[in-house]
Formats: sequence, C-alpha cells, structure tokens
Amino acid sequence: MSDPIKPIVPETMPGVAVAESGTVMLDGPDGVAIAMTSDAAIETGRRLIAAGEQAARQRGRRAD
Amino acid sequence: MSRTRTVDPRTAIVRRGEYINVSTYLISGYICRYMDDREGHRQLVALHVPGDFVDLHAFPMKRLDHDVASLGPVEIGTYEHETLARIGTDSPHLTRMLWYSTLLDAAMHREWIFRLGRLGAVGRVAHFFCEIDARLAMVGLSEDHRFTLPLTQADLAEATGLTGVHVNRTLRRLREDGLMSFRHGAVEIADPVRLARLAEFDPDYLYGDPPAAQER
Repeated sequence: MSDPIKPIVPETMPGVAVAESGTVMLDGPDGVAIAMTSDAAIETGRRLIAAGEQAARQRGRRAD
Repeated sequence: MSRTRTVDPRTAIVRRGEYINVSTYLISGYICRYMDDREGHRQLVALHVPGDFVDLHAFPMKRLDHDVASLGPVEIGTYEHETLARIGTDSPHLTRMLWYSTLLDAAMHREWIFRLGRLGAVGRVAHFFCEIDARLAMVGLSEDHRFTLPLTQADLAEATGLTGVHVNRTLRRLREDGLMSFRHGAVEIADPVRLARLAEFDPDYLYGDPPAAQER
C-alpha cells in the first residue's frame, strides 16, 4: 500500500518578518523566502491584512 | 579528449541556442548553468564540480536551452560529438557511464526544484552546501567537510532564489548557530549532521555508493 500524497494546504503558522539593512525579509511559512523594500513590505502588509480579514469573513459565512 | 583549455573566471563557455558539436568536461574549477529572466535577473540552475560532464545532453540536442559560464578560473576538456558517437558504438560500458552522468544531472535538478519549492531561506542555503560538500567529497575535494568554493554571496543568491541581503543574513545565522561558515570562498561545515537535518538533505540522489552504471 503506497503512502497517500498529502496535498499542499494553507499554512497555519505565520511567517517571520525581519528588517535588516533597509530591507524586509519574510521567511516562511512553507517555502517562502523573499526580501522586499520597506515600501513594498508595508503595502504587502496592508494587502495581507485586508485579504486575511476578507478570508476570515468568508470562513464565517461558510460556518453559518 | 579533443583538447583542453583554461577559461577565465566569469566567462561564457556555451551560449543558449548556439549550435554545438562538442561537449565539455570539467577538469578543475567550477562552472554554472544559468538562465536570465526578461529583466536580466539570473537564476543558477546547476553548479558543476570537477569530474562533471557539463553539457553532455548537447550531444543529442546540438544546442542548450540555457547558458554555461565559469565561476572561478577553470580548466575544461572538450569532446567532439563524433568521438562520443564512436564511444556509443565501441564501448557499451562507457556509454552507460555517459548515460549515468546525464541521469545524475536530472536527479540533481529534481533536488534543486525541491529545494526552491519546499525549503525556506535557511534550508535552501544549507541544502546547497550539503550537496556541494557531498559531491566534492566524491572527487576528493572536500576533506572533513572543508572545501574551497569561489562563489560570491550574489552567486549563492542566484542559486537559492534569494537576495544578497537575505543570503548574508542566512549565512550569519548558520555561522552563529555553529553549523557552518563561508568566508572568502572557504567553506567549513562544523556540524554536517545538523546542517543536513535543517536542509532535509539525503545524499541518496547522488548515487555515490556504488552507482549501478559502474558495474560491468
């Protein structure tokens, strides 16, 4: 019997963001490893919060 | 071998798409294979160590879909494809070895895809050094997990899909954790077991002991 293939699912652990030499580095979750300028990081942060809140509302609706 | 020659550091050896009727064997030094995106950002897709056939797949293909360049100074030998064709006719054992070399290349590519797709920054860098250490050990160029590697942090960034700043930070973390150091082209892996665990590295894909193709 072969092992079942686990599908890639949304991460439950947040990534780790640090600032160094004027650059923001995001490590994880999963295989994410990216560096951004401060402006790009701030805007990405805003968009992530907005999308996260929207996803939470969608999940809430499904639970109804 | 038709002829040998030395190549200066950071020199193109084969250009993507050009017609090729020879294949390159790396005698000493390091060669990379790379692809550039539309904006000129480079991704290293392979690193070759002494003893590797760099572009054996050009024998049947007659061109490459990527560029090949030296990293540090290198010495290479070239084999005309006519010679390789004769080997194919006259020596089944050598033919199997050439085939083995190409298959090993493919195995390493699969592992590089895994590295970039599944590992974070620390894992990617750790995996890269674990692989190079294992490959160099096979050809006697890594002793007690120490070896020279004439790569810059920018090269390392291009091999691991990270920025230079990210690589710098990752190397510092690996050094501060007592796992390995990389300074001025000198690599010292202080804790190969922990580094391999961090990298999810298993050298099995390098088929080092003993490759079936070497059996007559």
